[in-house]
Amino acid sequence: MTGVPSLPHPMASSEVAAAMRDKAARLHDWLRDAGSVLVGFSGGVDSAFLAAAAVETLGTARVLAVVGRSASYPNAQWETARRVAREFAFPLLEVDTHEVDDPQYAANPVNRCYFCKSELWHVLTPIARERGLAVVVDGTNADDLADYRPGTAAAKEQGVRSPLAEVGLTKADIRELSRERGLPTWSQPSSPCLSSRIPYHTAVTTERLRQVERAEQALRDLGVLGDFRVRHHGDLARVELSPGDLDRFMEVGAADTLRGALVGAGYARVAIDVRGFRSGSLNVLEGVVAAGA
Amino acid sequence: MPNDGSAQALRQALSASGFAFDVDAREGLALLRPADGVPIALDAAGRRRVQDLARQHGFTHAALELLPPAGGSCASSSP
Repeated sequence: MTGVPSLPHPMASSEVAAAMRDKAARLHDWLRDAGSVLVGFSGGVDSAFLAAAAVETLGTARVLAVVGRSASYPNAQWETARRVAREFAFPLLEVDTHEVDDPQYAANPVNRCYFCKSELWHVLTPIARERGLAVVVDGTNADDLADYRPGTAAAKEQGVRSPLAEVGLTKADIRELSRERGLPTWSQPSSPCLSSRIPYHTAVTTERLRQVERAEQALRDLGVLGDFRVRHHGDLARVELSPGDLDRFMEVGAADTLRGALVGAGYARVAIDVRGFRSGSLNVLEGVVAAGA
Repeated sequence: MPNDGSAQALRQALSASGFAFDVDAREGLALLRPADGVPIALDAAGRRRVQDLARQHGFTHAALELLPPAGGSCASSSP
């Protein structure tokens, strides 16, 4: 799949592999000590692996994976979450969250994720209490700790733990361990919420989120795979593509097809970012984090 | 933060490198529009050159606006 290495974990040495196995063993110990867990489940790489590891360690009776649905949560992701839960027998609960109705979230400040996660954990934590689940956990991994993630503070405030990060499992580790277990998410691109496509301080509305979702679905329908984003700049859609798709859609004929798809999704103007996909691109654009080389 | 002056300077630098684009500065984004209104394809080398020039002029991002075909004609650009 484009954007994901075909060999996800660079096993340069047996020491690297041994370190990963050690971390995986510590994760099982961590979960065993927890006794029972509610997993904040998005259907993404990390939380799917965590839910699978929890079921392996604790069994289905002591694990509940919970999806928080809202306008900012892509339908495609929701479908993946349901499919993975079904295939791997996770007990799954779907609940609605309402972060878009929170004016502090909708104003789209730099720390928007804090308000989203506050809402999510505010909904999920009581469910854990009601069902007698000892610990609420999320899929934050060791790499995430180095990123700008204001949502982490909301998790800490509500006592949510991050076992993947706590045992040092990186994204590459998680992809490799997921591949070994046959989890279809192992090669799945990262999939942050749809609000991440809207520049900070531009209001997040259900209508804009739906427009972004339509646009990204239109690109999937054209065969765009892997890591890509449609960034929302008012009447302009700025498309970030993986290198292979960038080559493909920079051809004039294909570019016109892409343009037509996004005009059909409601954008008057369409542009292709010449550098292509960048995770956290809008953080760089708005100076929240420094631009890389 | 780049401004209209940065956009003008970038337009001139692009032109000197053989790229005829109008440049619209949207904060850190340089929005490039083919100056003659004809859709342009950029190959990988061209994209790297455009990105480098944009960065040299203070832009973190550069994006090529896709125009509707003008009578079916098009141009390829990789000077």
